[in-house]
Amino acid sequence: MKRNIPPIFRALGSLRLTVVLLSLSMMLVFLSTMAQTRIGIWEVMSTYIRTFWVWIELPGSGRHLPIFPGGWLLGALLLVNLAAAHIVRFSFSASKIPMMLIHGGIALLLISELVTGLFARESDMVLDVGSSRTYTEAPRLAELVVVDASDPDHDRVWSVSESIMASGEPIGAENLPVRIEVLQFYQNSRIFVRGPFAPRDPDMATEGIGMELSVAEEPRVVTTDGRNSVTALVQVVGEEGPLGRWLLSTVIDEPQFFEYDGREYWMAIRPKRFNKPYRIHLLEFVHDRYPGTEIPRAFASRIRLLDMDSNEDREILISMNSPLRYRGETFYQASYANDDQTSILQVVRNPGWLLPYIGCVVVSGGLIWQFVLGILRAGKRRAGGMV
Amino acid sequence: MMQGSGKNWLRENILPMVAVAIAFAWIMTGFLPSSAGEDEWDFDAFGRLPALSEGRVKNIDSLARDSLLALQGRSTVRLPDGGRMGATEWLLHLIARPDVTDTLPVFLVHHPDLLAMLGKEGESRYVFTFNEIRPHGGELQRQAEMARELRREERSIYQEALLKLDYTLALYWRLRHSLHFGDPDTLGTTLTRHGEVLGPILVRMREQPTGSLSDSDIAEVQQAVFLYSSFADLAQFFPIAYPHPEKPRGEWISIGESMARALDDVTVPPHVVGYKNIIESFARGEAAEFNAHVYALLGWMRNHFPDATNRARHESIFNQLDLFLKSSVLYLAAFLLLTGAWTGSRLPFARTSAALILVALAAHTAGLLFRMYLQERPPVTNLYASAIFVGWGAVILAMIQERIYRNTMGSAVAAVLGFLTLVVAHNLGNDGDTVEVMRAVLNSNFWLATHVVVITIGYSATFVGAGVGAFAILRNLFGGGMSPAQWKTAAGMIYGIVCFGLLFSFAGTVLGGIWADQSWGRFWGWDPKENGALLIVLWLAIILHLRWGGMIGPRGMAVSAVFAGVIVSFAWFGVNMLGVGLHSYGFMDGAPFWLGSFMVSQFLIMGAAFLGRKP
Repeated sequence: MKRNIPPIFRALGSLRLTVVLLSLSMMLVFLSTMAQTRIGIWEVMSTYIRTFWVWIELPGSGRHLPIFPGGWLLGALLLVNLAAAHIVRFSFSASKIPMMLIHGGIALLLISELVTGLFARESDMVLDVGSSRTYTEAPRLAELVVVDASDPDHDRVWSVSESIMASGEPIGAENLPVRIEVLQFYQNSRIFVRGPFAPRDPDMATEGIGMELSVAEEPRVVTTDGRNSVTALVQVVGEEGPLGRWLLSTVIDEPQFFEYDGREYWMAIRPKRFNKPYRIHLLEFVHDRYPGTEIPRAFASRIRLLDMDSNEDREILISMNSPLRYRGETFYQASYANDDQTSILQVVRNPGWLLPYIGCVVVSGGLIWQFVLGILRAGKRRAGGMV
Repeated sequence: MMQGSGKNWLRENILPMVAVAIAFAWIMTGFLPSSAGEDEWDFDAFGRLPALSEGRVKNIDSLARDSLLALQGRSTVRLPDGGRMGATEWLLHLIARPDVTDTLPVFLVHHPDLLAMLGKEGESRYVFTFNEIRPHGGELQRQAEMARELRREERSIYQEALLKLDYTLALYWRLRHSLHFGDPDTLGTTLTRHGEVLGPILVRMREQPTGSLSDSDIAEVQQAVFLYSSFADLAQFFPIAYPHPEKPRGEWISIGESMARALDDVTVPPHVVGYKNIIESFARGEAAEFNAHVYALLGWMRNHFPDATNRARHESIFNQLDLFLKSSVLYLAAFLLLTGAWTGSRLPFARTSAALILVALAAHTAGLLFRMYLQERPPVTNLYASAIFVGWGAVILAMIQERIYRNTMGSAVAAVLGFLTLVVAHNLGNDGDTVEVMRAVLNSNFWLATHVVVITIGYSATFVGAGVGAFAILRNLFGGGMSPAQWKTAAGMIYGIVCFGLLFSFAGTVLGGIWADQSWGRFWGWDPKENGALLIVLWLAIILHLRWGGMIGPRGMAVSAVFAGVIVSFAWFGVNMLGVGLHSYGFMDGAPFWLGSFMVSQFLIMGAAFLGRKP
């Protein structure tokens, strides 16, 4: 069956293009691996994989040039190539099913990585033994919060993400009677106590602990475990004009208070929180070591899950290689701290978590089918040759 | 084969049979019992005693070998007179006759600045005695403490070398004080004092808890507590077992801690006394007495802790058999026989070679299974074990190809890969215990058995393809050229093994993703080890697409297969040298040089494909 296919389709579906794209993918993977000797995994992912182009900065000029196709571009081209190849070259027959399975599954794997890149969210739940939490924190994202704590029963919280802080636009919200202006913003900074003889900078904080502090900009952290110290100098503005300037930072633990219209508020910059409609209580943290060594054999958290929405109250053991999946999120035993008194759970929300599983099963099925078919054919050829 | 005359059959098979018989007999010599005469030291028996070290119960022989490997990268000690001292014998001397071991060279020092600090620059040796290093101990410790304050990546090579020496000195010191309280005779004196002086005090304490003790009694007890606990902290290994309701192999503690328990129990457990008798008789030079005490302790342990004692005995047998060393020698011999076959000799060298490979494979398999039994783990648990397993898988796959194609290519590839991987394993094992315990995240037999095994079989297959490719290229250049039919066969062999390799590499990579999703919530994290696996999958897929598109011929297949080997070597060892990632479980010194050399050699072979006769 010869179909009339435009040459552009032939080119898009050609095996040569496949080989070129796969070779470029190999180079990208290799480059991104070598890059990890210099920069952390998160930075590598955003500059090599989850991007259309890999950019380099021209020294001196501050201009950026795309030097290599990034993961998203190559992935998209591979998908196009795959689809075109099946339209152009493959007719439907039983012997083609395994190849279709393999390629379909690979397409699914590529898509699942895209879904993960776009929608997956990782945060931590840090639990001390005997305490509970109703939220998780994203250690690499910061938020500015303003909290109205005047009602003893519940706080009202307004929160703003890092990118809005960085934009410099005045921040207002419904029901929030004041406006917050970000006068200075540091993605990463160093904060130190002002020396005894250094004069107070008249442009800096006029209220709170920030009056005793100085701040200096630092380059953004690109290592895997490094954390940025996000800092902002903010001005709170009411109806009648500014109330004062405060220095807020992820490295300043204490909230800073102001009063307005008879109500008390506090502000802070802290790791971004995700509130949960349930509570997790750490009953016990188990850290088992091999006898006579410091090598960890196993660690596990025995938790109690309290969910008033769904009337659940049960005990669960989360251990290495055995996570808890609950309400679209997965809780993994990630780490521990504080002399085994603190357990750190990693909480992942990935709406596409099932996709790679399906993709793998499909590809593996196709590969095995194809492989068995190949052996049978070789066997037949051999048998035929002997006759 | 049997249709020919009996004479033909004999000519075909007598050489292979003789070779197999010799090889088999040689392997079995490992079972020969050591024949310790009446007044000869039975060190092997002492080496069979069980003890806990580095998280698992092993035999003292393994413990001594691993310690020596950690100290100097070899498991025997070279004596000044040119002879050798076995590991167990050395450990016994270290404990009971330290005056002897302090003059034996066991500390490996390579770094020129470190040699200069020890005042040994310009000497043509790198292994030094404790007595030679001792005068510089203070300075060494001072610098080591400064270096320890830095993070690993901040340290210079000199500081790393310094810390390694500092570690080995500590290891030496701890081993030396694992069975007594300072000097060899202190175990005896302490036991005596415990029985004669402490005993009555302890009994009184138990019967009348208050008011029965004088100040000197209290001082006596306090002194004992201090002595016992200090040496409990110092001990490198734990030779004393107590029954434990939850641990079928017993609870293992040091001599010091056992004595500390004896403060409550009053009586000292019999195996502590057993070790005292052994040390004392050894120090006195009474071989017969020493042997008797060792046998008595072994017997007592076997009665009270049969499981641990048996495993220790089995590990001794495993050490003595030295199966991996023997199979590597047999692989080499098989390869040499093959070169005989290629010269066109009429003797059945090819058959003999294949037979020898099968014997070597049997030994290799036995060693692998024995290790699994000792470790109670699936076969691949660390870099050392992966080398053993990659070689094992490669030999099997290559021999299957030999069975199908019968052109000596499979045998050649099997022999070379079997030999090389075991040599690599041997060198990887020079750091210490290869049957090590698994860190928490790896502590999952299910994933070790699936992901790790499957991906490692992918390595094996890819190396077999690379071997066939390299073999075809070299034969074309040096072996008088390859005929088109021979090229076609080689390309077919490569094609089959590449398909197989892709299947396993892909499945293994995916299983790794599932494991990662299960343990830290990321199916794919672009971690270097994952990327290495992905590179293999991508390259094997490229080879197949190149072939399907008619873009490469047989020679191109050979070159691509050799390159696949380079990629596997990068994924296997290269990424570990980058020093990043959750997976870098095997950091190695000196290995970058060998990996680089391997890669260069493979690139030369790829280049050589374009010389010689064109297919």
